[in-house]
Amino acid sequence: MAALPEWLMEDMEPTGDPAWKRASKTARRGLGKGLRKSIAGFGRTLGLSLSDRSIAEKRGLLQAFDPRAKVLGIVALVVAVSVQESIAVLSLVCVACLALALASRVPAGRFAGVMLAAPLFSVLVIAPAVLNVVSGGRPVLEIWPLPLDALPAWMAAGPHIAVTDAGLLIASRFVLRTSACVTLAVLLTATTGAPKLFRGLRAVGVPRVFVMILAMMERYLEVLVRAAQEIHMAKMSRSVSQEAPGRERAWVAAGIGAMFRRARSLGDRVYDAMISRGYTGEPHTWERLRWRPKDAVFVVSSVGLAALLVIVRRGI
Amino acid sequence: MHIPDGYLGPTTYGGAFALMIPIWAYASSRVKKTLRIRQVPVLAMAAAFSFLVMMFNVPIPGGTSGHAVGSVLIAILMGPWAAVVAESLVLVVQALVFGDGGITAIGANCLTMAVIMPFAGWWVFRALAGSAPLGTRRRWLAASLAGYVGLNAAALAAGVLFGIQPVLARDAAGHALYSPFGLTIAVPAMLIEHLLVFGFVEAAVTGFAVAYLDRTEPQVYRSYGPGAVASEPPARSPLRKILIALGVLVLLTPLGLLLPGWLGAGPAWGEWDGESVKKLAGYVPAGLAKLGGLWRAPMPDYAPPGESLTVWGLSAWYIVSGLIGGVILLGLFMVFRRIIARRESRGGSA
Repeated sequence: MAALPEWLMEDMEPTGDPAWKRASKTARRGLGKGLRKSIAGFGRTLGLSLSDRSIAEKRGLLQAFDPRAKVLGIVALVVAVSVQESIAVLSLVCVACLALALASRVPAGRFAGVMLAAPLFSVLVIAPAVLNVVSGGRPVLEIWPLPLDALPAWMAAGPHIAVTDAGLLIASRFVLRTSACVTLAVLLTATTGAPKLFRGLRAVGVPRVFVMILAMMERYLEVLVRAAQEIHMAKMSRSVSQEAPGRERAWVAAGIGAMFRRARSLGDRVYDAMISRGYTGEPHTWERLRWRPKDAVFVVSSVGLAALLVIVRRGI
Repeated sequence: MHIPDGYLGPTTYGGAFALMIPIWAYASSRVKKTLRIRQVPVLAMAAAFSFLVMMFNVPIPGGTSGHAVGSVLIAILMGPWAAVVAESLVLVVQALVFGDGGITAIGANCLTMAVIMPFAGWWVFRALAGSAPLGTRRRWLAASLAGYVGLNAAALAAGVLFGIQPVLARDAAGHALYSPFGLTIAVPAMLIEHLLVFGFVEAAVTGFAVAYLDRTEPQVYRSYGPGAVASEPPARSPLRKILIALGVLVLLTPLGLLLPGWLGAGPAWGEWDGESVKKLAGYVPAGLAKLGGLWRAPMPDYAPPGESLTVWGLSAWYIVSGLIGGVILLGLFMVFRRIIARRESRGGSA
């Protein structure tokens, strides 16, 4: 995230509120599950955005390119992967992403987390598709009726269910494609950093005013996340046991209402500050992005590779 | 509900982007007119707020928790076009920075959560709340129902996007290339959890938050110009828009008859008669055989009983059935609205 003005800065650990860390496990368990998940989510959001900034500032392969070149090149690759049908090519793309991550010094833990989480979620979604009732195909593993000799009559009845070759093909292609797209997106985000990434969106035609709104939103999101964290910490420090779900729901909605008031008032203060600096509605930026020959090489090679992937989408 | 990369084929995600580009352009021009030079900070904070709403976890009966999307709430507070812009920006940030939702699916996610959801909710809110004073139970009920309807409309749209994939994209061997679940699986799968669980979370958050802001911050509704609730002239009731939309939907009802034939789809999942169950499972359960004939509908399959009709004749009967159903539902809606209004006026005079 971009640096905040001093009047909004506060000491806070990136991974969460120190008071939350100090709270005993019993105190944490005494809270509603929703409250615990919200507090953990706020800490994660702050921690993730800060760790992304540190990766983007490292000296690595992808960090060396202009954000506009990276947005153009990687979006072209994601589109090419999204039409890819060959399992071999998709596997190669995943391996290439791993090599790019190493060359860009993306921490192995972060990358491995993404490489594992994306396929895991896709596997859960796609699991029923391996069955004949969804995808058809030649059975490779009988599931129902159970492949046993002596079965009660009720177990032998019912529809025939089996894992099929077509189902496995559909599922593996789906999981590999999703993983390849997610890892490409993570490479783009992690090696660019949010503020530069938003400015890179100009390369794909996003209007300047939207880029400015995005950057401002991302910048002040940290302030609002901290405010929400404070509301939750205040609630936690005044709770001795879990409340009835109905009361907790009303409290959450009131918290959201309070956050809206906070966001509105912050918007007004930021607007006043902008007006006092002479803002007339036309966005201007000081920092200029520099387009160098190596950026052009990156765009040409990425788009060329994407075109090649589209040509060989049915296999090498 | 965030659709990741790889779930939708290029025709669907490309089509969604093609639909969204004019919507984004129109929304930003509407918001620019309303907010003028305040648009950058106001929309940035609205988007940050919208992002934050998704981080508040709400307890759900059964010991778990879920979060609301919040775009109906923003539509009620700031107008639907501001919700389109703010929610779209949130979805872009979530896709790019937090990996929630795919890059290729940004258009589709914006269509469901940043357009269909806020507008469906906004229309329901306007229709039910009318010009009820701030802080009344009618506004709280209207906001809750708007949240519920908005979220389920978005879930239905996402289910349809998933469900059309096996028809739109297949490889040379005829296998699905993207989400392999047809409409009969994808739509119920998306709708069941939203109708039974997450719809109520959205309803609670939207209803309680509107009630809280009505009570504590009534000036909110006057802050954002013509897009906001209180500054809309009461004469511009959305009932006319709803009637037009209903009319269009009624005229489109024959698609429900024609499309399954063109796409080779079977009956909707779970809506099987005894014959279909026999085909699928090999036998008809005794309970189904016994109860199947319990009720004889006056117009079975949306046509007069016993008549053999051509496709055009059947299409005409579909439209007539749609009209009858629409009139019955509108009548019920008007009765419901009148009952709430009467209770409110009694509560106010007491």
